[in-house]
Amino acid sequence: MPTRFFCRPFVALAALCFVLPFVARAQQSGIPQLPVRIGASARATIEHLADSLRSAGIPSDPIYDKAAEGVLKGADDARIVAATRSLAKELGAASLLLGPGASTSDVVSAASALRAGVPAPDIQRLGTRRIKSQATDGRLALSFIILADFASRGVPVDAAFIAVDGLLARGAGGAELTAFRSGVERDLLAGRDARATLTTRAEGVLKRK
Amino acid sequence: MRSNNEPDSDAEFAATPLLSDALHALKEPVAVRAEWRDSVLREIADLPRPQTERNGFALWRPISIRPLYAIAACLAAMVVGAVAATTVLRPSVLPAVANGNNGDANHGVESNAPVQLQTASAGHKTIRFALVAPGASHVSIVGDFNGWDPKATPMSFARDGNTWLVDMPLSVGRHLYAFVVDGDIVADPSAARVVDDDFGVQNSVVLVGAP
Repeated sequence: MPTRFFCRPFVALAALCFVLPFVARAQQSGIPQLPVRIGASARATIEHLADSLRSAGIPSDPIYDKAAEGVLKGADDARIVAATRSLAKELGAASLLLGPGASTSDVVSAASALRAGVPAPDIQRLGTRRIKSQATDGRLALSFIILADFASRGVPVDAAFIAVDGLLARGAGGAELTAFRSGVERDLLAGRDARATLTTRAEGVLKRK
Repeated sequence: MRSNNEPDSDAEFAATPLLSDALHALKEPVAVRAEWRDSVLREIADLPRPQTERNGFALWRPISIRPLYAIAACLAAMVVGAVAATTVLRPSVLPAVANGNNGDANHGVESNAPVQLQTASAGHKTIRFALVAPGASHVSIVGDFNGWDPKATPMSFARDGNTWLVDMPLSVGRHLYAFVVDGDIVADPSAARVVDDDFGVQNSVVLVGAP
C-alpha cells in the first residue's frame, strides 16, 4: 500500500545517501593505503612503522610513498621493508634533532638532508635557529632542501652549511634562498669552484636584499 | 463628538422594523437561476491553473511512493554517489599543452627541465614537466606527490607530436619523481638526479621554491 512521503524530507534523505560515500571516501583518503602487491607480513611491519611515527607526532606519509615506490620499481618485500625502516629511522632522527614544534615539511626535508649526507649537528644547529627565531615560514625546510641538493651534487657540505646558515642568520627569506641556490647551480654547471661560488653567491644575494 | 440628534448605537438601527427586515433580507442567500450558476461554475473550472501545478513536479507537493521504492531510490543514490566519489576524488589528472623536439634511440627520450609556471595556491606552485618521447604510446609521471602510481597522472601528447607534458601543482619543497614510458621507469634527463640506494633506480629531483 503506498505511503505518502513529503518530497522535501525524501529528497534530503536521498541527498544524504548520495553524499555519504563522498564523506567515507574522503575520510579513507586521509590515511594512505599500501599497494596490494605487498605481502601480509611486510604490510604489517610497514603499518607498524607508520603507526609508531604517527603516535610520536612524526609524519608517516613518506613511509607509504617509499613502499609504493618500491612496488613500482619491482623491489621485493624484504627490500621494501628495509627501505621503509631506514626512512622511518631518518624521520625519527630528524624529528629529535629539530625538537618539538617542528613542522611536517621541516621534518621531512631534514630527513632528506640527513640522507644526502648533511651531518646531524648541522641539522640540529639550524633547528635551534628556528626555535630562537620562531620562524614558521618554510625557510628552514627550504634550507634543508638546498643543503640536500648541494650534497647530492657533490658540493662540500661544510661550506654549504656555512653559507646557508649565514644567510638565515642575516635574515634571508625564501626568495633570497631560492636565488642563492639557483645562482650556485648555474655556477656549478659553468664549472666554477664550489666553495668560491657559495661565498660569492651568498654575498651577492645579501647585497641585493 | 456625537450630536444629540444622532442614534446612540447600532441597536437603535436594528430596533427599527424597516431596517431590521432589510438586514434579514441581506443575510438570505441570493436566489439565482440554475443555468446561470452552472455557467459561472464552468467558467471557474476553465480558469488556467497556477504555474506550479502545470509544471507537474514541485518539491513542496506531497507524492505517493511505496516504502520499498523509497529504499531502492536511496540505495541507487548511494551507488551513484559512490561511483561519483571514486571518479571525482581520485588523484587529479591535469591538462597539458606545449611543444618540444625529437628524441634519441634510448627510449627516444629527451626532456626539458621542469618549469615553475605559477603559484597554484598557498604553499603550492604549478610545475610543468615535459618529456620528448616521440615513439612512446603511453607516458605518465610518478613521484612522491602521487604515491608513485603510474596510472595517477598520465601525460598528454603535445601538438608537435613529440613531447609529453603535464602541469602539476606541487607543494613547496623537494620532490622525487620519474617518468614511466610504456611501462619503463625513466629518470628525467634534464633534471638533477639522485642515486636511489634503496631500490637501485635513479630518481629525478625537482625543487619547488618558497613563496
